[in-house]
Amino acid sequence: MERDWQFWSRRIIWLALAIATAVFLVVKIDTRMYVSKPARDIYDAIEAVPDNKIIVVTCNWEMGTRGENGPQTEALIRHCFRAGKRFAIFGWAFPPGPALGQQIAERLAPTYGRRYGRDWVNWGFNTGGSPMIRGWAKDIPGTIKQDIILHKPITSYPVMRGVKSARDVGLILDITPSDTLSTWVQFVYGFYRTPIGYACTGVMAPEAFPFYDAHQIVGVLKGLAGAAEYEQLMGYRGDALKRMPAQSSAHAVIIGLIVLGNVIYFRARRRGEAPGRRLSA
Amino acid sequence: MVVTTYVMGGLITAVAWWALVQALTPIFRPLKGGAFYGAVSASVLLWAAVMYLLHRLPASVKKPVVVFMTFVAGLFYVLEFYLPARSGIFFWRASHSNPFTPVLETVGNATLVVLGFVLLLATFNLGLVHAKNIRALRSGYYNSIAFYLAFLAMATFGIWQVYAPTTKLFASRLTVQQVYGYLFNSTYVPLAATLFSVLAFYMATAAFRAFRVRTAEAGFMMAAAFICMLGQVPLGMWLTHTLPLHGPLSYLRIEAMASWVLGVFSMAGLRAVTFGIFVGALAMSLRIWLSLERGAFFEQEL
Amino acid sequence: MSRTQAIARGLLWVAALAAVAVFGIRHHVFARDLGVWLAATCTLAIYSILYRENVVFRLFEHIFIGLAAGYSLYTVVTQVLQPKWFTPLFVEGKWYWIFASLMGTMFYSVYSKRWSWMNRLAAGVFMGLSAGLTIVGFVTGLAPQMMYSFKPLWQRTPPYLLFNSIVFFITVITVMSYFFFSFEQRHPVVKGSARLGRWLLMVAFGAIFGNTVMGRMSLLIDRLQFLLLQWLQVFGHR
Repeated sequence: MERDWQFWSRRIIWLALAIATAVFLVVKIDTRMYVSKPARDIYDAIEAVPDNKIIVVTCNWEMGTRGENGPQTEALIRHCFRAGKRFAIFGWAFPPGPALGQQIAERLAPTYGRRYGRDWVNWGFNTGGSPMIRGWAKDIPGTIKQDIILHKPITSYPVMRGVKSARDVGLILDITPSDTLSTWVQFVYGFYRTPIGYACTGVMAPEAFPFYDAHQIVGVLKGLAGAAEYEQLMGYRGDALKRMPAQSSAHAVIIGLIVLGNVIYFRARRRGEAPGRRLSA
Repeated sequence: MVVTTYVMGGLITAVAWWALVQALTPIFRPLKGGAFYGAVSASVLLWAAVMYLLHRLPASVKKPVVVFMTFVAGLFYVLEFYLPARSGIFFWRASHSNPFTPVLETVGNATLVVLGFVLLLATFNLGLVHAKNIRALRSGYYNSIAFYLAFLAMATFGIWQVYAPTTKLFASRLTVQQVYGYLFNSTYVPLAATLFSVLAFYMATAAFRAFRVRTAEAGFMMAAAFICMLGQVPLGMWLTHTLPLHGPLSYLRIEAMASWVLGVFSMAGLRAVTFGIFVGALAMSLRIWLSLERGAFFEQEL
Repeated sequence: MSRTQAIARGLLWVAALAAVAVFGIRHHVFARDLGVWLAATCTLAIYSILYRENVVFRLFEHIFIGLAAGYSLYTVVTQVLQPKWFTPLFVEGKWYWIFASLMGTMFYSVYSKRWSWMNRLAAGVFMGLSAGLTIVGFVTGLAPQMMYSFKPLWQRTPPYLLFNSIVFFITVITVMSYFFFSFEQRHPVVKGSARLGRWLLMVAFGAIFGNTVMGRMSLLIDRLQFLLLQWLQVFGHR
């Protein structure tokens, strides 16, 4: 009986979470987000990139964090397209990252009349970590060599004109669930003062703020909420804003479960029952 | 004594390296035809000879060789950074510029290539493990067969679609690129995304069963967590939307409180943690660089 | 249950699900696209673990590992080794790049007890490189952090900025004092500071926990959105 209750109580909790979230995905609710300063700062940084410099959109993420990094990448690439800023897709932490970024760029390009090679290029995935980034910052064409879509030398593309080192990069957008930020800060910002924008998953967001406070990064997009704030700034209703009601519902469920669990625990403790007997629920 | 050894070793290495570079620079140029194959063969033979000679050395000599190579490798970046960009101490260079800086990109590219081979090692190891399962017909060996089929399909079609994307398969209408598209977008992406999303359910169970506010500290932590959770979603913003957007009361809006917790309070605590991390990483790096680190890997017999 | 019975039961399940799928497709309940169906099958196969451990989940888990390994191989070969090693070596004639591959293959000596010292040598070189870089990064990464930790504690600023600076100062000092483990904290000031630091560090942990919840839920919402709005057609595209 106790084992059955243990088994089914977990499934009931999971079903409740799934239903509570699913309802708000199906029911359309218009939401507005309060745009925080770290998100606004990334927006301003992209706007401020001069025409003679390139933006590096680093897709250091993979499918496991697509729920957060996907909408962030879409919002940032959309902004680059809209503002007419040339950019390069790059990755060095997870192999699928640049391919996922390329899919997003190819989907958005027709809307803004952008063309591969002229408005953006994909440098692909590179191994090597910090030593590679140290060399990359000094000589970009010497490190990257060719793109991964048409397999031509990157210097042959109009988008790469005048781009030789990190000094010719106007902004690095690091979209990642991992700790790649310290590499960028130490070996690119530390040497070349290249502005860095950090779009991370929720887990990494608190750890980004010491860098934001020290002006080592220009701004932070915190997970799906950050992507929703950015969409609010851009004035379009993308996946992030559409998912925020479901996100609210999921948070409410988690808070409710924590409160309920603690209420049951304290009642049992007041009754003098051993914690864990009734609390196998 | 140890420091003197390292400093002397570093100086000798620097002089030897300079002499080697001066002697070999004319050789390091692109070659074609027979000269190219000769150079490659000679390199492989030289490498094999050096490795064989090192292999014949006793373990008491091999360890210092490893320590020495570790030290020299780290010395490259340290010298490149701490020596000035331009100085009279680089008297042998016409421009008096730091000799290590031009080599940065080459070292980075070499690291890139070597780590590319190392990534393949992980794949090789996975293949070995599953091959053993199939050979021994262990329980669930058909899963290992599925692993191999998926691995070969993705690797084959992935590489194939780079070089011949429009090739049609077995007189069907399907092209190589389409098959790769199904493998990547319709199989790999949803599998990865779903595996990570299962964590959300376990978090819900943990929230109910494990997150007990037994102490005041835990209560403080939960309060901060609730503020952050509510302050970043529309539900929380709706709870305090009646408060004004400007003025002293605006600081009580949940999104302002969440911003303050993240940007000031939590940031301060994590700044202190960051100091510890940087200092700890420096200490660890020094120990590894100077081969002072202990542990199963560092103390294994050579 | 015998193997034959298990296979028969499995086939019955497949037949029943296929019948539901065909019915649903014909009546526009489900999508018609093969790619969407493949993705939905993979998603539901993984979610079957939520009911209980089963062979379908294990099978698809292994398929995922195979696909990930195959994708790694494809990426490394076409995006790393071919443009950065093969082309410079065999096309441009830069013969000295052979040494990079020889160094890379040294790592494979880990499988031989006799030659595994080569793996130790190669790993030592790369650990040395990383250690050297970390020593460099210590300066470039930490210096701005230290600089911006000295916030003004007394000047004509708006009250909230001064309040923030004081909170920041107290938190950083007390949290750092909490991490002093190399001596025993006996003095009441040090002890009290460490205890306060522990309290204040809880705020950071709470923020991390809150954001972790946000992150995990986002991943679930992504998959639910696919199932409800792309696979199930009844709710329509949004």
